[in-house]
Amino acid sequence: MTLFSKMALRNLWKNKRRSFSTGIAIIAGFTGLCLLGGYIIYVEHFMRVSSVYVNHTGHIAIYKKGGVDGFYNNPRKYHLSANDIQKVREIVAQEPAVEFTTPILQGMGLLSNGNKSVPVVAFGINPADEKRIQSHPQVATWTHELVPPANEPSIKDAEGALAETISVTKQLGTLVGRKAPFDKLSANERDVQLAARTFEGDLNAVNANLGFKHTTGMMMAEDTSLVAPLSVLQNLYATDGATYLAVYLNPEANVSGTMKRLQEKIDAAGLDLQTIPFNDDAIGLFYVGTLGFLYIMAGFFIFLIFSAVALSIVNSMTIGILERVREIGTLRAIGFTNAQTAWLFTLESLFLTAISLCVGYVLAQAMAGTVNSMNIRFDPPGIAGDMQFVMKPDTWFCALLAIPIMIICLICAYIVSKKLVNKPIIQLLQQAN
Amino acid sequence: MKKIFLLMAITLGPSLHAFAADSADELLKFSDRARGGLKDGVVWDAKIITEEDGDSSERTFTIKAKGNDANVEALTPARNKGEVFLFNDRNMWFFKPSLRKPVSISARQKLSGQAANGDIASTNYSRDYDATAAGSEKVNGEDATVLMLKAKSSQVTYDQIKYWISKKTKLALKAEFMTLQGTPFKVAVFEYKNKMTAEGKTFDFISKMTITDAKFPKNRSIIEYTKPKAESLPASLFNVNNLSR
Repeated sequence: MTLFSKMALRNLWKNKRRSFSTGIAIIAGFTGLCLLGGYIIYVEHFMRVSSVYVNHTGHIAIYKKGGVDGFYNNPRKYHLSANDIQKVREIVAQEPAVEFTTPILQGMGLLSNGNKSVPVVAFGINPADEKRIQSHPQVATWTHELVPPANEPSIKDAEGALAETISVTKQLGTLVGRKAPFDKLSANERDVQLAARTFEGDLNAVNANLGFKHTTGMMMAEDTSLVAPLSVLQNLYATDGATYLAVYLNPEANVSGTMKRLQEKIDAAGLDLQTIPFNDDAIGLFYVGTLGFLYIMAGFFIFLIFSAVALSIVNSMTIGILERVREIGTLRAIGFTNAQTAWLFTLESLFLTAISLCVGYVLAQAMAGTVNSMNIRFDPPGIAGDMQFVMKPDTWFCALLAIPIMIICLICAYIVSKKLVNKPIIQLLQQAN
Repeated sequence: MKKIFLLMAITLGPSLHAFAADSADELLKFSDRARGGLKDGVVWDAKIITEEDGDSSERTFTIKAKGNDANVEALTPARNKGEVFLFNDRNMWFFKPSLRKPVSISARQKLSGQAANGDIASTNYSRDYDATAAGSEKVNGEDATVLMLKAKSSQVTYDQIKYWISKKTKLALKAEFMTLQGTPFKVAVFEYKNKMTAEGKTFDFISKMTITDAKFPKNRSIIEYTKPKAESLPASLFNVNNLSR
């Protein structure tokens, strides 16, 4: 440790009151920013994982060209055939960033209990792929509340004897006169039928069993969402194809880069398909809309808090240095150059800010941990049911926030001390007296 | 003199209005008969030819109707054979042999192209709609009375229908199916080249109904009616509980 560093630390220790008051300003501001950032990051992750995994969009969705808009009007023209799926899967398999893929079949239809029918929006997925999605580490970390617990039967178990079993939301079950838990209903009550127009335009219906319950996480979809094994929906719509192929990437993968490479390979293979990322409003309108609103709100609040914090820090630092005019005069009188004196004060500021930021980070993590453990629940707009208020301050985000605070503190300390040390020594000593 | 006219208008107005409403209902009831709206059983075959977005398809059905009920069984194409649409009063059911229970469906849903489920056997407009006279117009040179039909229930196929009934034959010539806001979205024209004998009388019976999309006239469905005959039909044929037995 250099002489200047030792002196800077001793000065901080010597002026405990001053150091404490300046440090508190930095700690309070930085903790607040870390917690706000932690909440925004949590919501972003929650929305992303909910969209990509729970709602089966995948990081990249591969549609027939024009299929996003055209599929519901003309599914015969805009669906992915079994042949399309096989070819595109061969292409996707060459991409190391891809974790797995699954075909998704979507459609409108009716859910009937024999007396009454209600409209549904149906998702068809392979149960084995659903099992993989539900047990995915990203889902476990961010949206575990949106998937059934691992030991609870769900669409992931719709194989073998349960191959005809479907999953509906609690609200949809009530609409069709069936109360959850559905697996406790009698065989006759569980016996339901799905009806829809096939891709050829004929009315068709298939038998199904009501057995599982799920939630979409989105209020607007809770009264119509039905998830069925892919084979059941393929029977219903009389097709061997799907609406789109959901491509799931490794969590660290670059979505836009991977998508670009896939699109190039698809075009080179002469397939009439298009790749769409989960954050395109064509398929992820809820994600894009919610986050757009959140970012604007959060940006505004961060700006306000940051400005208040910066002013508070600058004020504390300036007063702290202005109170030490005599000390500056003494240092100058015993032979410290202007630059050395200014550097000493800047170094003090560096240590004080660094220590305060570290304490602020630890405090933010401790407060977030305490709040999270209290399981505070609230009803966010657009989200089905209540959810836990969670803050997860991210280390990298906090580090990013620390940089401008550090810069502000250093600049402030340097400018104020530099201004003072340039004054004549006698004036400094007199001013102090 | 003016006072006398005013008094007459006040006293006779409601009864004239009732007379007009009665005649509109009577006219509607009479025109229903030629589209299958008979109290006793009637059976006919129907072929629906659909032309939509350049594609064409054909489906055939046997329709057995009695009063407010109808049983419509698909004959072709082979993949649809055995499927049944059951009209039970204003409720409608779909059933096929592989189903464990029938499915309740809406008369408004599309059956094929422009034809809604309800179009194939909803013959009882006088039961389903309130009719009011709305003047006279010519349809293909033929004088017709215009009726405005308003749905009595949300379960019927259309919210509003503008209906042209020939003054000469009292048969429906044309219909404009309208949204709740009064915008026509489908237009139908009717032909009567079949003959039917029922209730001791022989009368003209519908032979063709052409339903065209109001915005895209190339998209249309033609329902051809053949082999109409009166037949005694058992009530059990229209019992939804018998479908899955």
